[in-house]
Amino acid sequence: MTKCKNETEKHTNLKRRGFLGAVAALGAGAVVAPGVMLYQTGGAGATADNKVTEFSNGGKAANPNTRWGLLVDTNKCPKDCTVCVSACVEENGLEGKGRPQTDAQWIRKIDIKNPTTGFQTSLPVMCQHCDEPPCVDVCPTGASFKRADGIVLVDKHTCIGCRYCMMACPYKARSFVHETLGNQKPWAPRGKGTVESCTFCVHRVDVGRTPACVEKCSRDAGGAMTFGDINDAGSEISMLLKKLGTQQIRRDLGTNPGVYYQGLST
Amino acid sequence: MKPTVFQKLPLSTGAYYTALFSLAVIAGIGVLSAYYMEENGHWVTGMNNQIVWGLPHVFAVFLIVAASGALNVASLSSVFGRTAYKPLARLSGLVAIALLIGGLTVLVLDLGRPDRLIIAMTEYNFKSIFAWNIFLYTGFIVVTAIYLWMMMERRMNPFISIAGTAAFVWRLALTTGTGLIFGFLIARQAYDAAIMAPMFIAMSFAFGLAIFQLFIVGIFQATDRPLGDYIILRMGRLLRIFIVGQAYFVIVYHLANLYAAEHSGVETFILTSGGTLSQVFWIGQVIIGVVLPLILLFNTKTKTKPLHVSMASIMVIIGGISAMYVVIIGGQSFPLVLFPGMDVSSSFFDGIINTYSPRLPELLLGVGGIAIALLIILVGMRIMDFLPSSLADRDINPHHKPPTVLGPNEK
Amino acid sequence: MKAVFSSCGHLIAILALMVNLSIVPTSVALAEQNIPFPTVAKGMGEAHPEGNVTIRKNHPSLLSHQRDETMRQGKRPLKESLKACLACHQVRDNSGDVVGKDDPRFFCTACHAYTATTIDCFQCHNDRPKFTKETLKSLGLNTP
Repeated sequence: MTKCKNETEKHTNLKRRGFLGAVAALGAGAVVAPGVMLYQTGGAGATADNKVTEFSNGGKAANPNTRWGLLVDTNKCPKDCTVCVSACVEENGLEGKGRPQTDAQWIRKIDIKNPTTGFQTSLPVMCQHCDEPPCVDVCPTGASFKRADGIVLVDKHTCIGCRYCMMACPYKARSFVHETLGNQKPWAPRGKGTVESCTFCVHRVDVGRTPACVEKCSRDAGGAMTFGDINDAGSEISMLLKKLGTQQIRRDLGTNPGVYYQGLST
Repeated sequence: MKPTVFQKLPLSTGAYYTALFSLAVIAGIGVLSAYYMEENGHWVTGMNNQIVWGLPHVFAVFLIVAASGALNVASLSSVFGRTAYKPLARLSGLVAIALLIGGLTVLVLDLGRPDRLIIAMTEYNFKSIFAWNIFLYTGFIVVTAIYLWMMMERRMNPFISIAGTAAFVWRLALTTGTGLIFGFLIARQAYDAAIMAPMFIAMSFAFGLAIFQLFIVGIFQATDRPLGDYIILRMGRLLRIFIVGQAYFVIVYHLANLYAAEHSGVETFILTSGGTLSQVFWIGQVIIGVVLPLILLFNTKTKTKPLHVSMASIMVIIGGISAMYVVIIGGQSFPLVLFPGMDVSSSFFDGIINTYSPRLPELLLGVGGIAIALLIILVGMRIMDFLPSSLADRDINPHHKPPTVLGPNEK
Repeated sequence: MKAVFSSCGHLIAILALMVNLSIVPTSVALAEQNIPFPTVAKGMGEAHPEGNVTIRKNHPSLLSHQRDETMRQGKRPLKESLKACLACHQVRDNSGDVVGKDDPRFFCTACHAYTATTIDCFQCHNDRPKFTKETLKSLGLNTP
C-alpha cells in the first residue's frame, strides 16, 4: 500500500515538475519574445552629405578634443533679470502646466543671501555638464551619458524614468516630465515619463550656434554669458577663464563642472 | 524528535479562494493605480521634481530589505546549524522570494516608462549600483529557488548547506547594494555615507524576522496547527538582538552626522524641525520601532509570553516603514546645498525644506505590492509542501522535557 | 512511465518557445501571399535607393542605428534625420494641413495601426515639423 502511494506521489511530483518547467519556459518566452521579434539585423551607415542646414551638420560627429563650457559673469546679472530663463523656455518648448512643483525647469535664477553679512547676489544655474557627472554614474541603463565633447545628455529612448539621476545630481539640474506633452519643438524632443535637463542647446551647438540663453543674454540683457570650447586655448572663454578668477559650484565634490562663475564671492 | 512532516496549505476550498480573491483584488487595485499613474503622468501623485521618490519607494525598499531578512531563519538552520529552525526553513525561503517580488513589482510599476523594462534588463551601465541591483535581486530569486529545491528534493538534501551559504552571502550582497543606493549619493546631506550599507543589513535582520514571526503565528492559527511557546520565544530573543543591532547603526549614523558641522543642518531637520518627519522618526522609528519592543522583549514580566513577541514584531514593522520613510523622504526634503552657508531661493524650490503630501494612487500601489507578496505565499503553500505539520514544543525543542504528570490533553 | 511524463513537460516547453519565436510577419511574405495591404500615402521626392521593400523590412534597425549615432555621437546628416523622413512622407488633409500622428492617414500610423504595433516615437518627437525653403530644397522637395 505504502509502495503504491509513493509511486503515485513520485509520478505526480515529476509530472508537476514537468508542468512547472513548461510554465517557466512559456513565461520566459513571453517576456523575451517581444524583444526577439522586434530586433532585426542589418542597418545602413549614415551617408554624410555635406549640407549644413538649420538642423543638420552634414553627419559630423562631436569632437572629442572639444569641451564645451559656459562662463557667467554674475556682476552683469541683475537680480530681477530672467531673460535666460525665458529664452530657454521658448527655445525648448518648456511652457509649464501651471504646476510649478512638477513643471520642468532647465535653468533658473538662484538668489543668494549671506545670512551673516547680508550680502546678496543672483546667478543662473543649469545643468553643469560635469566632467565626472554623478548622474551618468548612477543611470542603470546608461541613458544619462556624457558626449565626447563634454555635453551631458539624457538619451530619452533608453530612459526608463527611474529618477535615480535626479537623486544623484548635486545641482538639482534635472526635471522629470510628469504629464503627456504635445506640440514639442522639433529640435527638442521631450516626453512623459523621462528625465531631462539643460542640453547646452545641443541642437544649436551642433550646427555652429550658441545656446539660446547665451544668445538672448547678449542681445537683450547684460551680456553675462560666454559660451565656448574650454579646451581651445585661443577661444574667448578660455582666455577669460585664464585671466579672471572663476568659481565652479561645489567644486569640492569633484564633479569638475563645465560651468564657471565669475564675480561670485559671497 | 520526529522528522518534520511538510504539508500543503490545508484551508478549505472556500477559505482558500476567499483569501485568494481578496488578495487578488487588492493587488489588482495596486496595478490599476500604477496604470493610472503611468497613463496620466506622475503629476497625479505627490511626487514632484523636489520629492522624486515617494511612498511607492518607501514600501518597495522596505519589502526588499525585509525579504533578505526573512531568509535568515533558513540560514540559521542551514548555515549556522540551529536545528530548531529547520522546520521553518522552507517557509522562510518562500516568504523571502514573495516579499522581494512584491517590492520589485512596486518599484517597476512606479517607473516613468515601465514599458521599457526590457531595456532595463538588456542595457546596463555597470557603474550604477541600480544596474548591479537588478542582477542581485533577480539572482536572489534564482538562488533562493535553488536553495528551496535542495531542501524539498530528498536527493538534493546533502547540498542544503552549500545552497544555504550561497543564499546567505547573496542576500548580504543584495542588502549592501540596497543600502548603497543611498550611500553612494554625494549630492544629498543625509546620504553619502558608507554606514548606510551595514545599517540596512542590520535593519533587514530585524524587519525580516518580525514579518516572518508574525506570519508563522498567523498561518498556524489559521490552520489550527500546534505552535509551541519554545520557537516563538526563541524568535523573540533573536529579535531583540537584531533590534539592538539596527539601533546601534542608526545611533552611530545620526551621532556622526550631528557631530560634523557640515551635516548638522540635516540632522537638526530630521531630529527637531522636520514637522511630520521628526514625528515619524521619534514616534515611529525610535519609540515604536525600538524602545517599546525592547521593553517588551527584555522585561522579565513580559518576555515570556509569545503574544508579546507578536506585539513586538508589529511594532518593529511599523518602525521599519518609518525608518524607510525617514531615509527616503527625509533625505529629499532637506534642500541640496549648492552654496554652503548661504540662504538661497529660486523658482525651482532651492534652499527650502520640501514637503511631501502622498496621494492615494501611491499608497494603493504600495499596498498592492504587499498583497502580491501575500498572494505568492498563499499560492505557494497551496501547491507545494511548505507548511510543517507541527511546531509544538515536543516536536521541535531539542531540550524538551515532557512533563512528569500528563495533563488531560497530553498523549 | 516517469520518463514519458518529464519529457512531456520538456516537449511542451520546446513547443512553446518555437511558437513564440516564429511569429515574425514580414511584408515580403505578405505581398507574396496576396494578403491585403494597408493604404499608405506615396512619399514625395526621390525614392529610397535601397528600394521600398528593404526599407520597409529594415526601418526599425535603420531608425535605431541612426538615432544612436545622432544621440550619442552628434552626427546629424540631413537625409537620415527623422525630420527628413517627415518632410518627404508628409500627408495633407482636405484643407491642405499636414496630418498628425493620430490621423489614420499619417504615414507611420497607416501601417502601424494596421499591424497593431505601437510606436512611441511621437510621444516625444514633433510629428509635423515646419521646414524652411532652404531645407526643402536641400531635400529635393518643392512643397509649400
